[in-house]
Amino acid sequence: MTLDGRVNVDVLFHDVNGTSAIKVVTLNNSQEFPDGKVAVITGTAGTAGITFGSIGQTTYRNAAGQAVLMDSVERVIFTWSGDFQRAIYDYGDNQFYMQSVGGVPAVTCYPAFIPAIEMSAGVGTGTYKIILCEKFNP
Amino acid sequence: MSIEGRISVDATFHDKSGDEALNVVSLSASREYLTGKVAVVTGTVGASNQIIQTQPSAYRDAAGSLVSFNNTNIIAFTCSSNAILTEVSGQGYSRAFANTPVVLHSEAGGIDGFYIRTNSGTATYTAVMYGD
Repeated sequence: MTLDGRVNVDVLFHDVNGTSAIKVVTLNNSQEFPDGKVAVITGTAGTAGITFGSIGQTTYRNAAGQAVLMDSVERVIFTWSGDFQRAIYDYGDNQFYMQSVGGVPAVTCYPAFIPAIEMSAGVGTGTYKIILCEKFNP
Repeated sequence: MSIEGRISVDATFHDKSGDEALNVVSLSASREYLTGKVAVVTGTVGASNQIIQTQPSAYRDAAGSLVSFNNTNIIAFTCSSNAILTEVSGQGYSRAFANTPVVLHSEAGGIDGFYIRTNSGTATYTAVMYGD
């Protein structure tokens, strides 16, 4: 089974005071994923941390019911709905540490390793979503 | 002078096989920012750490006033080569592939700025910082 997908990042700010020159600050990118593998991890967390373990050995399954085993991960997207910041990080090779709060996602790239992922302990409860993408070859 | 803006992330994946149930994986969020401060920093960086200053900074708004951050909560970053972005005073760090942006939330508020460096060689970068 094959897949298709995209990851878009769009950042735009501008002045709202019309009496001076308007500065426009932008950063945007749309990346297509015509192949590879994707896994999504979702759940609800309290104040305790969560260990997801190595994503090289997963129980995730695709639409055909086949296990989705990843050789490497090149892109991670994370969002946390809680009012206080929460982090996920690679406790194996220490390759990334990313935070989210209030549903605002964080996006990172990863140099083709198999991360072992934990979510930090924190204040309050919330829901999380983590998307892991393999075979991202810019 | 005030600002207005948004940061949007939209990730969508779906199966292409038509004879099986279609799995759709998506994560999208768009947040508007009606207050705060923004600065964009562009430059050239090599394999040694270079600091993006946030407090004080030399960035100026459209009126010519200095934009100095008390906290830098979000930084969106892209580089023409593989690069690493790190909070000077915090734990946050992230990697960017060539020309593919990353969005990093700053746990420590970025009060001492951010380090950037490439894996090897030199590259040009753009960083958009949002804070107060």
